[in-house]
Amino acid sequence: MSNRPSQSELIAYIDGALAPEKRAAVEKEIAADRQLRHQLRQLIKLRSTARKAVRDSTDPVPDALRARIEAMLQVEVQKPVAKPRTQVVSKPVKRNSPWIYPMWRPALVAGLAACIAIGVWVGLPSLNDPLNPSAVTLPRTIARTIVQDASRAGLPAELVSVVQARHLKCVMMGNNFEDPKFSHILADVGPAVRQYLGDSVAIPDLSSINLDFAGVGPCQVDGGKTLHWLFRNPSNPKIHVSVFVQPFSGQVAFDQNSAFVIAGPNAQFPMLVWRDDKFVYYLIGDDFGATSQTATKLGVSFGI
Amino acid sequence: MPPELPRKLHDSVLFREAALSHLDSLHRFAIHLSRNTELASELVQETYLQALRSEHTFDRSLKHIRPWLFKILNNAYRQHFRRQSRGGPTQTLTDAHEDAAAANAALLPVNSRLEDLNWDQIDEELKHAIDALPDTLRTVFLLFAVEDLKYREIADVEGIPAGTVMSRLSRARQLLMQTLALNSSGSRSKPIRSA
Repeated sequence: MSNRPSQSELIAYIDGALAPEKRAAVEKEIAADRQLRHQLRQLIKLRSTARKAVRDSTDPVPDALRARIEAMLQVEVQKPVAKPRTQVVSKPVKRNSPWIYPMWRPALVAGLAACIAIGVWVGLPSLNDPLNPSAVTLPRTIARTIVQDASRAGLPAELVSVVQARHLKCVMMGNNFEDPKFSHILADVGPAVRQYLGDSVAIPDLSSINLDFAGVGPCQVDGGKTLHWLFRNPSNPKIHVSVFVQPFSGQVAFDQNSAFVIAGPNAQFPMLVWRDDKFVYYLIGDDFGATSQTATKLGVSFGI
Repeated sequence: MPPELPRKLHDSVLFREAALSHLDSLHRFAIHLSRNTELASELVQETYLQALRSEHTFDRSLKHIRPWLFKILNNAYRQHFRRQSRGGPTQTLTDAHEDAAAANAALLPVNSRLEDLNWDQIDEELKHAIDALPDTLRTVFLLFAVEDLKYREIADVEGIPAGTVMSRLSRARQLLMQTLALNSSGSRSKPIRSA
């Protein structure tokens, strides 16, 4: 009586789905039967050719779909901490910021007509920290009005979540800091920063406020260049502060003479945004004290 | 800050990173499942939306995220046709139909005709043959041969026993072999569909 395996058994054999004793029996038959071996080769070839044929012939994911999915995955990491209190459309926000994904609607991010801004005039802070000698420009420390209502900046509410996500990702998941062009010594990062951003910008040493430099590197976002500086409290590993810097190209249409409190002292991740004529700065931390002190070092304030 | 929140956010970031890493596979599967690029994009988007809604229920180890996402997509595809109330996907086979198709395939002397087949030059032919498979067989075959899911994972995606996965895979392969054999012998067959 023949023990010749059926095609189903042969397929189960290829797929590794046979019990050990059955597998041994099928192997014995295969070894003794040239036709079976040929059939086996054909079945293996069918799978590998099908795999290649389907994979090679499928168009890549359309850019628009990829952008939608990425935005969906980014913006929902956490609900915005600071939302506009009302939504009144004023003017659309340009979409050339890497933070701003196509699904964001200008209507969601418009200015607020009835909002109350608390203007706090901040004097010129002094920057006494040792600075990066190879960088020539500091964030401009001009007097800025502190605007407590983020909606006045014309920024998307979702921006809060996106920046938080980037901050958290770099804090918790490793980093953007493996690019060998960027030194792990703050004083040495100037040339690489200048080369990447097209202009010089220096973020001061924050060791005097107990924040060690953890790294700087390109932030992996589509659509624009962004550098991320990360600082860490050496005595409390839960406290980090991030500064993101983007070349300013009109993407955030808000007043250069103001700094905007996106998330205040009571938020889990306090956040400030401001700009000068060259760059946009996003400051975020997971502790208000450290973030506020960093803000002071950078020439801005939460206005409190 | 509450100690559990960073952990939750950490898990959430990991979850989203893992989910995004399967975008290419899900899109490819959606295209070959639906044979419609627009519908494929909708299905993929729906898959991620549903995945995000159920994120909190997902196993933190993320070990099974790939089959889980395929399952969501497969269900979205079925629901799409159910909603349209035009019957199921282009073709829904009962086991009896599948058996009949497989029986027909088995009657053909496939192996002899595959002797002269040049496997390096049949990509297009094979792709068409896969697209022409009945839905139930195509789904299982794509998940196994192209997306590398295991029998048990496919069974979960399809909501069928693992044994049925094996038999469907066997039938799919028989039908594909038959199509290739017929084509290689010079007789251009019409696409093989269910009996």
